[in-house]
Amino acid sequence: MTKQPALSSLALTAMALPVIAGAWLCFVRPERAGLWVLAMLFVPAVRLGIRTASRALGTTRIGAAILPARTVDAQKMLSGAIVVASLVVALPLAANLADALGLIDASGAHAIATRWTNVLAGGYFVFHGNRLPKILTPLSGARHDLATMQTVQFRTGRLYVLAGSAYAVVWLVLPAHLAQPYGLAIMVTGILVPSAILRSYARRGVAHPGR
Amino acid sequence: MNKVFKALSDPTRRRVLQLLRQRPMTAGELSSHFEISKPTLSAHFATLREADLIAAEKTGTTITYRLKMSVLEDALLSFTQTFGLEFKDRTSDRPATEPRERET
Repeated sequence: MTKQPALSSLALTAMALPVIAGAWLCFVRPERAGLWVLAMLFVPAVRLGIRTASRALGTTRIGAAILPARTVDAQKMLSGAIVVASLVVALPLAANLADALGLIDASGAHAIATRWTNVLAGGYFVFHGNRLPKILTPLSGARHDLATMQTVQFRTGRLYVLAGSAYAVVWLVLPAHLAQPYGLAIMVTGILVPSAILRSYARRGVAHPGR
Repeated sequence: MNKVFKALSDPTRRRVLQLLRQRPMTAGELSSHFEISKPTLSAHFATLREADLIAAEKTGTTITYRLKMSVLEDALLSFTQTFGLEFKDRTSDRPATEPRERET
């Protein structure tokens, strides 16, 4: 079994945020304690699930062959995902807390939570897209020629970065009623275009496209 | 990020990255594009690997190098090329200003 490097300290700190906010909300709004507990334990539960699954995968022959080459990069991606997921959960909790403490009103809390959650989602798309070309398939396990795979990874990564940036900017600058449809259109495009690129390369098979 | 900037600051290393943009190459294929000694080139590869810009995979006695750049790092490389820092292959038209990198 492969020993996996620990999560970054930033990821661990981020994981604590929803727990703190949720625990505080349990005290100030105990009537919805079930919801707060569910929210505060969501990210740690997912993390535990991933850890268990990767350990189980590490004991298999295929998993043992793949994991050593990808562990560090995969762990970096996981740390980033945990930071974003924790913030996405912590933001609405913090907004609810601010509402419960009388710092902002309920509609303000909802608007802040919606806007910043979507900005974070865009940011995560950028983060993921940026690191996408760094994920390497072992040469022995490559099913297509490496030049094509490299090109596809870079094109997909760039599109993710562009779509994520545009999505975050739209949610930052536009009013909510406009940001919603435009953001959705950008995200759908950002997912469909890379999918179309992947399909076209899969159909063409081995090729050496320029970048 | 310091390691990335250090790696991109050298024209030979940028040229290596440019070549790897086309396709993964073996150490021998890469060295045929340069007039520098193999130990010097290996040092450049080591710097690039340390910056996590390339990855090396050994198959038997052959080491294959491949690009391992993020979108941002790729944009940084393009940026340096856009500002006239690109060095041409010695097998193509060599700019007169290019320094000779032969070692004894």
